[in-house]
Amino acid sequence: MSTGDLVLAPFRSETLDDRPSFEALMAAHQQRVLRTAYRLLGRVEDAQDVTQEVFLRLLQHLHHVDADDPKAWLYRVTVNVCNDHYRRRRPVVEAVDLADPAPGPQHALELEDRKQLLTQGLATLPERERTAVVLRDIEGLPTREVAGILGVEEVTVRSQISKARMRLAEYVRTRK
Amino acid sequence: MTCQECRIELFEDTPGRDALVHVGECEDCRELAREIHANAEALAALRGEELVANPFVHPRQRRPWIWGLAAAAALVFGISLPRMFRTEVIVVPNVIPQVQEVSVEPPAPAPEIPKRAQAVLRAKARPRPAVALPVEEPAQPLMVKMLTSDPDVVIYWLIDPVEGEKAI
Repeated sequence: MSTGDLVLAPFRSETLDDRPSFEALMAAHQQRVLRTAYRLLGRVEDAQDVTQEVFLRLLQHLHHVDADDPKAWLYRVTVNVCNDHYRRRRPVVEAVDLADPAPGPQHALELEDRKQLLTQGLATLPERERTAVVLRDIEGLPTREVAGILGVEEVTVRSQISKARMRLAEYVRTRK
Repeated sequence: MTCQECRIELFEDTPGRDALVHVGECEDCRELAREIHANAEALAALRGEELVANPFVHPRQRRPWIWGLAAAAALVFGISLPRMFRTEVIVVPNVIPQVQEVSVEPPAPAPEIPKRAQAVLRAKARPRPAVALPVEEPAQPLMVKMLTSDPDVVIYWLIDPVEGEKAI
């Protein structure tokens, strides 16, 4: 056994055993993590970096994560990694190819415009408010769960979400 | 309920009954409620979207050469910076003169001088009073005045002590 094998042996023994379940988790939650990171950072490339980082951490902490319900852990790590990213680089909204939205004539167009405006408006929000509204309104998590992920009281989350919605409404109203 | 109070409640998850009643009566607040609802619908629609990007198909290169370049630049900067601000310091060697230890012998006693010789030496060393030499003044001619019977005639004799007498 070489020196490199000795160094890597403990890591390999964990990862090889858990590889199937890790792949299953990745397949199930990859889009969720990517989407959340994109909404928080506003740039696909940054969201990809964050997603890689999140699943790297998942791989390293696989034994400590509740495999039945890893959503809360994934959201928490995603938010943390995004916050680190955000502090290094302010969010920039860029055009992104999204999957085909729900078809429909006028309503679909209006909805699409509004989604674009809201996506831009998200980038203007303070970090905590943006995180709260992304988890609550976009990801649809209950307030209690958002509070658990962010490590704050529910009343704080409610306040942050209300402020974020006000700012977003003002942003959309002034640009329509 | 005022419009201000109603608007605050509308942005919450579950507006109160009073707020809903106010919305039914106030056109402005009703318009705001429609906007908020439309925003909530659009935000929820964002949830269903899937990003086309796949982070694991083409993992991004971390570009380690950037860090290498930064490290090299930092190294060059670190080396050049002290030189830029360096002040020339001339190190003066600390020269300590070597002192040779010399055994100093007490001076030999002066030879004894006889008393008479000492008196002569003292007399020689005593300052002498200055003697004023007589200054020779140039000799003045001797003048002799001779009166005659005529009061208008006077004879003067000038006698030079060196050359002799001369009558004027």
